[in-house]
Amino acid sequence: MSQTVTIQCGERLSIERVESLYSEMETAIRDAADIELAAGQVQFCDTAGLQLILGLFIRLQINSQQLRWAEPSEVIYETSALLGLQDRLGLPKRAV
Amino acid sequence: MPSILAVDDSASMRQMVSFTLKGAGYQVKEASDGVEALAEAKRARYDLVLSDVNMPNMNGIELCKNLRQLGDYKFVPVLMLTTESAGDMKMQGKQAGATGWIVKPFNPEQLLSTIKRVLG
Amino acid sequence: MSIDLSQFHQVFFEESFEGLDVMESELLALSPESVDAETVNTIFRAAHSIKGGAGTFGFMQVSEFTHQLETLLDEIRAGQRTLEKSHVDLFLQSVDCLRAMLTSLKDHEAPDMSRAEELKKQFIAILKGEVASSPANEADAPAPETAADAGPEGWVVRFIPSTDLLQTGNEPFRMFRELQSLLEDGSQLQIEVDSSRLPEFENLQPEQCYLSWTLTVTGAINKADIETVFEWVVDECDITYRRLGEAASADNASTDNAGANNASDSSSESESSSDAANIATDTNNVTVASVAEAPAPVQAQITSIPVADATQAPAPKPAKSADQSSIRVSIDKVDSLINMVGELVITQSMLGQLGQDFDMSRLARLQEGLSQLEQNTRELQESVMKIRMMPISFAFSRFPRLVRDLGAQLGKKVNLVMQGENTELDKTVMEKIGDPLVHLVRNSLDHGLETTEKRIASGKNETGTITLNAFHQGGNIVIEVRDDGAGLNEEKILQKARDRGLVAQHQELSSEEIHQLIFLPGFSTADVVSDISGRGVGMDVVRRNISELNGTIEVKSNRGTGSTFVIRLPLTLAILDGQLVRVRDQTYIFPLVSIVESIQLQKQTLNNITGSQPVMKLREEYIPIVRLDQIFHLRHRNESVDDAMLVVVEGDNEKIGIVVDDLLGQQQVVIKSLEANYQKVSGVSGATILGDGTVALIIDISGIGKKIEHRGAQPGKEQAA
Repeated sequence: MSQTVTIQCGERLSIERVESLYSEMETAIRDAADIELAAGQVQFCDTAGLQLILGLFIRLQINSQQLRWAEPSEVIYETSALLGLQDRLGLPKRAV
Repeated sequence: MPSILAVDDSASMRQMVSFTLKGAGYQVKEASDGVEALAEAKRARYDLVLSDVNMPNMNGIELCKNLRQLGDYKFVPVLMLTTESAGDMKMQGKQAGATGWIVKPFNPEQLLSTIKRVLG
Repeated sequence: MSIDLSQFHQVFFEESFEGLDVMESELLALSPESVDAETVNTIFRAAHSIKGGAGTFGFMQVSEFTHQLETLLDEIRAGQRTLEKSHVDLFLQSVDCLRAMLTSLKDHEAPDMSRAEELKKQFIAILKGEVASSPANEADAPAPETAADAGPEGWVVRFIPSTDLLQTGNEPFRMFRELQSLLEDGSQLQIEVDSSRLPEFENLQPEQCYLSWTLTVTGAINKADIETVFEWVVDECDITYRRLGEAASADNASTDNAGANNASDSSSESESSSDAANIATDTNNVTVASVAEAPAPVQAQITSIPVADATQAPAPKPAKSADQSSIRVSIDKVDSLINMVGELVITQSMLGQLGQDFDMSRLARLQEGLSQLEQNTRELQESVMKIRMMPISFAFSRFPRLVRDLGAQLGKKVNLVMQGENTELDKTVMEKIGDPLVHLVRNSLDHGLETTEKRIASGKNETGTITLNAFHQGGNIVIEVRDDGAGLNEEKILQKARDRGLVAQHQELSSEEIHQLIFLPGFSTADVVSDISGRGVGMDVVRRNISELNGTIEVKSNRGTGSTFVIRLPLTLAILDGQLVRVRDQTYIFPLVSIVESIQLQKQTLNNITGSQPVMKLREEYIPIVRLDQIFHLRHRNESVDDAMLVVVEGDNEKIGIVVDDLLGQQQVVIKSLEANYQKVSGVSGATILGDGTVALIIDISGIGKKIEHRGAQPGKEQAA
């Protein structure tokens, strides 16, 4: 079992979507080795959204699974910086 | 641009709020009481609801409670425009699920700077 | 961005006046014996809106005054206080006071505050009576020391949200962003997240907030400013503030559950969340009350520029005409108008096509098109007129109050009945009919209704009834003011008229004619000139005001059972029912209402003996004969008036005969103002454009009457033949 599951973050990585993302992630943790977050479309994210990813990231680290970001959008960097989470989510360093 | 539903039974307040917000580039829809606002909220989804408290037919507190029952508005910021700076009305608002409040009187600049706390 | 708030003033004033009217009528419906909660609520809401608007648009005098009244209303509404009759009276006086204040402000004048101050004292006295904390006192409380807050070195804020903080739409990153925006150059915000409360992924409830933060602000910032950022969530989080560089002792306050006890013990500058909340609230109150003088520090950042234009009284502008008003129009009326215009456009394009290549075979279609155009035009006219139409309840609404106050003053029990309140009439007519109506109602109360004792003695119900009624009749609106009082005292009236030389000593008059005497200038029947209707304004003025509106007034009276004044007014001032007449090569228009009759002038009835002014004996009256060609200096005068056609008209209760060459048709004409388009011409009330494009002058009958009086004073100047 070494496949990667991609989770689509959509345009809004925010509180109204976290319940459904959470179920998707639960399944992915069980079924996959690694998880990829397709986050290029994200135009808005908030505390609940990023907190969920933090929880996911911690879980995967404990499980020795990988979390990969696929082209995280600018807004993810900005919001995570405002919440002090910029170094906690496994975000790739930004190419300046 | 985010869309805002502005609810007030006073035409002058509504116009002032609406004019200010439109000037800042927001899309604004006006409603003159809670009943009208609730119908409008069901028709389209707004990113923020700004509502007066004291209104005929359905007041702002009731409106807020009703909005929170709608799936689409579970987390949408709702700000009460209130003249009561005392805690009681704020508590009622918070209990009804309001995000915050703006104390009247306010001027356009205060309005704009305050709504940045819930939009964008 | 600076927004000129004065653009909303007009609407604010309009809705405030409406609000005051609502308050007044609801207050009158309010009786201390059975307080209707919804009525109190409606009054409260109206007061509340006025207060809110006034504050927003910078009329602090109004909002502060309304605040007192609102506080008392709120206590009554909440059942904390029982409504007393004295409260209702005080509220009613406040409504008057507010109306006066707003009227002054609307006219860019400083309102007279002496009345307001006096009423305010009464409110405060009542409010102090039972309930301990009046908001006015809060506002008087000294502002919290904000200077001490200005720590140059910065603050450490420990912010621990309750887990359901996110449920109400509050969002930490936006708060932090706002905090960041408050920083001045050289200041810095450092954000550290604490995720120790975050459960294992399996136990995570993703809509809850488990994160908490430590925010370190270095640089000059007021604590109050930081508190503003968190003001909405103070009850949904633990938040502690510590001055930067202040260590150990404060650290126990920054542990998670820094309660109120803890902080009040602490002599350090750390404050618990609940203290912080109080200060935030107080500061807000102070801001509300004193924003006109100086922006309170908590608002300093955002208000520094705008407060000036928002709260200072508007700079005196060249006095705008008070007539510059707007009307509210229901959407239905506008829709129907748009509909009409749509049809007009269709007809126009149809006719346009027809005109492109027209031949006689298509005459029938042309005629059809023209008749359609006529119909469209008529409908459009009606729709446009409807826009100006308002229910007469706007004019009636002041009477419950007036009758209540006057009745009390006169010691008479009065019941006011209003009927036909939804009858519509033109806004301009409505504005001008108000004063005459007030006079008539006062008159009925004062002179019409008997005293309670007299009513009882004559076997009547001790409560008198005054009825206001309005309805449409033909193209007119009829307004009746009826009382069930004693009726006109004919002997007394006739005697007065004789004493004053208005009627010859032995001339006999019918009841009808006697009744009309009360409209003569200077006539008053009250034995004692009372304070109420004897203010130097008589029925003659009422009559003149009404005839200025092209209306008429008459009185019907029955001895013992009461009098009815009947006013007939055109529905609008913009359109007149006119009689077209020809004089030489000119067409003139007489208002149809003023025409009494048209007769053939006969030589033998003419009488030139008075010298300058020819008169004619018409039945038992002598009426002056007027020649428009002389008055308007037309060329081609015809020197003889023998056998000419004479139109007898009545204006200001004076009959005059006007010589015309021909009577043309009757039609509705649209009145154009001469003053606006040319200049005022005496004897002419306006002009209109006829179907053939020529301009016809509309004759001002009472103006013509004055012209001949004036002429009569200069005998021989322009002698008639």
